[in-house]
Amino acid sequence: MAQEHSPLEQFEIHPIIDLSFAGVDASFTNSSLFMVLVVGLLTLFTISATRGSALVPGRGQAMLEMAYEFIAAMVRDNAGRDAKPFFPFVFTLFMFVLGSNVMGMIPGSFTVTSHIAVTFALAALVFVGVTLLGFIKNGAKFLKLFAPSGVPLALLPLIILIELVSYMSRPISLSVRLFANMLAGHIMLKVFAGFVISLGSLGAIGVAAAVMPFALNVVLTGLEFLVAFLQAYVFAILTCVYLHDALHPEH
Amino acid sequence: MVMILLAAADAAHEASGGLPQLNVLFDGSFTNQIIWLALTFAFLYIVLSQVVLPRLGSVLTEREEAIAADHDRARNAHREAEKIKAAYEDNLAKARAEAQASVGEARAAAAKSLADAQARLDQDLAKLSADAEKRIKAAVADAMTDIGAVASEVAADLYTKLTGEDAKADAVRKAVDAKLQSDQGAQ
Repeated sequence: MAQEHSPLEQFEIHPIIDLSFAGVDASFTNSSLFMVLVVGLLTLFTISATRGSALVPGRGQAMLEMAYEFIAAMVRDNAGRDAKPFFPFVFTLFMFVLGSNVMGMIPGSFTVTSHIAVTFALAALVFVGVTLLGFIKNGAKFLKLFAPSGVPLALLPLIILIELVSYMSRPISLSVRLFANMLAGHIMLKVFAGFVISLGSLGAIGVAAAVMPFALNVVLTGLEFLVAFLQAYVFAILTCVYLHDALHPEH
Repeated sequence: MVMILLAAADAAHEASGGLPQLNVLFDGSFTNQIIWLALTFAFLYIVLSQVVLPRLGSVLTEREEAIAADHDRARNAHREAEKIKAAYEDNLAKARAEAQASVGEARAAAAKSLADAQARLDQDLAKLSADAEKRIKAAVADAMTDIGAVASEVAADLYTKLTGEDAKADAVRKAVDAKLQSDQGAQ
């Protein structure tokens, strides 16, 4: 019984089509299904909303223009003007994370971003990309990022160590932040929903008491939508900050 | 939040053996997520960067240009309107001055013609009164000559009545004329 109502059941991965390439599991699972759904819906929406490309935008186009200018301003302000070539990447990242988070809010659906494997893959993509970009753009000067100018020589080893650790922990903090937020939010929703059900089966008093977790769940749902947006925003803006470091390593 | 998370994870661990998120890491099946993530993310990146974002970018610059052009046009129109307004006001002032001038002229002409008419009227009146005076004088003179004949007749009649003799008309006439002349001279 406990397994049936486990709040973690929603995170389980069930293969739909078993696939494997060179011994590596590539099964099409419920997670893959929702990735395809998110990307498919995003593609459908963005393409159809921008089809006319009207000078006076419709609803969908106005929304996308807002997103465009929002992300463009984010990239410009946090990563600098020379980060413009990476705008499509940041935009895609934001849209994918936001789409996955919001899609996960549909009851019974699967939240792609609630899996550390996914968020870590995205964070690693950012981390490896930014590090490579830093070395390609600046060569060895990129290492100046770890040795800020103006630091006393005696403190330099310590500072370099701290900077190195903080740099290396970036993909972990970036991925765990998104994953933990999604995980915790969805567990809370499930736990309180479970309270509603178990209290409701205890007769009249239980039903009356069940109003409280139910009301809490309504509030939490609103909060989770905020978190869904906020985490996508945080993921995108941190990517911009990291891009800034790669483009301008001298602090 | 963290406590709930941990409690839930703990409960789940007892029930079904750990977080599914970690289980997939341990049994190696996480690769299916990463492979599908790579596929879908790459697809979304291509769609957005090749189709959607260029469209949005071009429509935004287009709009910016259109707005700038409209703004320019509005500014030009405003400037032109201002110019037209200034010209209009200029014309209005000119017209007003002209009107003022022509009113003054008309007034002067009217005054002049009035004065002329007055002068002519005065002249006519003076002439008329002079004529009238002349005519009166003639009438008086006529009356004076007639009065001599009438007076002679009356005198002759009186003389006849008083004396019973026929008056010599010539003599009476002479006497009356003389008397009249002396009276006139006395006057």
